[in-house]
Amino acid sequence: MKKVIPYILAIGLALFVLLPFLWMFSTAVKPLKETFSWPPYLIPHDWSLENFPISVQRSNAIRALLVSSIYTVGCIVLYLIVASLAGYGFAKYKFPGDSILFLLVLGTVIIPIEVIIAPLFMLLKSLGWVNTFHGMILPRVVEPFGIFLLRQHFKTIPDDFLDAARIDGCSEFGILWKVVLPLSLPPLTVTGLFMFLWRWNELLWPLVVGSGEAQRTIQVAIALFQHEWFVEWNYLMALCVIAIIPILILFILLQRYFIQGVVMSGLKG
Amino acid sequence: MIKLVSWKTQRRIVPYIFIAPAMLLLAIFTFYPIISSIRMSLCEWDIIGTPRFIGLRNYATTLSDMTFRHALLVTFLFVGVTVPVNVTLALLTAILLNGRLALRNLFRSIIFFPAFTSMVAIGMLWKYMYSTDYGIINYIITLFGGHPKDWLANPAWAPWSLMLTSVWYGFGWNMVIFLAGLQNIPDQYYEAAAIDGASKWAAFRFITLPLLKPISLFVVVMAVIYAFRMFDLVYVMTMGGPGTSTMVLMMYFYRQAFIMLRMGQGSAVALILFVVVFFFTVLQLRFFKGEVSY
Repeated sequence: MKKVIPYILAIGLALFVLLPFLWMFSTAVKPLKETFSWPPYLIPHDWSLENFPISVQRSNAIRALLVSSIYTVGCIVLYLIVASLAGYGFAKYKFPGDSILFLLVLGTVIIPIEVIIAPLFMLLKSLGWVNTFHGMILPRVVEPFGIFLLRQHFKTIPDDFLDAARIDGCSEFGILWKVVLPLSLPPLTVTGLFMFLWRWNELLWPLVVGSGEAQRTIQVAIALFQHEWFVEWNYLMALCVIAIIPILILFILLQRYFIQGVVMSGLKG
Repeated sequence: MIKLVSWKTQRRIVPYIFIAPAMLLLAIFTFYPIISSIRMSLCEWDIIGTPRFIGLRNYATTLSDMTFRHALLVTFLFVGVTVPVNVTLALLTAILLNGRLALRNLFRSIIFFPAFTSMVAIGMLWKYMYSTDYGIINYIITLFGGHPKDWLANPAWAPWSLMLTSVWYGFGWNMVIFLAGLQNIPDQYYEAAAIDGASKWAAFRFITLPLLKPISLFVVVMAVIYAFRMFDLVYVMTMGGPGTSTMVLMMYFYRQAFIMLRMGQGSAVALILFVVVFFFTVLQLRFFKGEVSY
């Protein structure tokens, strides 16, 4: 009996987490009338995948997915470049002001987006950058997380490696590109992955600076879907499934890095 | 010789080139907005027109606004309930899944997953599940002989419904941090305790809990910050309603700044929220200081 109790608890918790997701997936393949049925049931009587194309068409979700992808990938690529450069600069050089500047970077951890979102919006407005990709992306590619993570990792790479490359005539940027970065794939993956998760799932920022019809991310499209349509839950859940699928795939492939990132935020933060 | 000198100068400039993009972005998109946020909070400014300096009046208006005071209360309720529930559940789940259990990695993955999904999608899902007339939750309640409730439509229930969803969403994240902490505790401690005849409870009380303290502090501090800043779920599920029953501070901020377009007052609200969160963070760190010495 004592051996069974942990299993009962674990299965109970897993079902508590899993059942809502099953409900989402099942609703996404139900015809509309089954979403209002009483009693509700998990297994659809008459399931089909046609909700996906219909919901995508109606809410202009193709466009929204494209916007989300450009926004997310743009942020990841720029962030990896910016954070690698800065992390390397802070890890491998001593220069006047280095510790103060690094503290300044870390200090932005305590500045949440809402404190600066109103002035940022006004700034973008005066530049004519509202509802543009560069307006959405550029303000969101500075996060201390990756700079700190990469700096910690770069510090562990022996200076001998760098000096050997220098003697071979490698430039300082060449060293970072050819020697250091190839040795840093795990922290780069964690950095890119978390940038992906933050930007793909983000609501407030894209809602404020990109709520124009053509500039909505998938999250904004879902959030505004309910205001524009009488709520057809099957279509809405289909959109939600579409928004979650990329994360599910990455979660299955890269789970190790998900855990690393979370633990890193916990143990070092 | 010439080569050496130029190399030295190069080495002096190079680090600044490395950090320049990050510092430039920070200066334009973080530091400058912080200053202009403070400036804006001292002005009357609805998007069109020019800002007019009005001193601290935005702060006075905000602090005396009944809706703001209510939002402050609702936010404290959210923080006061979700943080202890979330952290306790996360700790107990971590202990459970740290034990020898077949398939424990699968259990961990399942419980861990929601924290990475979009709050927008999760909010929508739960909104559907909470629906009064055809919601799955009401159906399950009637199966057990209970009465259906209007989870999100009733001001008395709506905050609690949101809190349940928020705990469901977030406890897996904290569980993973606790698991990492538990795995850092050497087995020898427990073996020594067992040799000394300590009960399992005593081992938990005098080994596990004290050694988890630094991590718990971190988890609690972060959970409090996130709870204070809760927005996505509220925006998607209730928009602060019904009435103002789920009007958390972030929702109030969004309403003032981006629906009513009072940029000046919006900035004041954001800064007040920042000060509140900062105050509570420092308070917790002070409170636990000295206790964390492992």
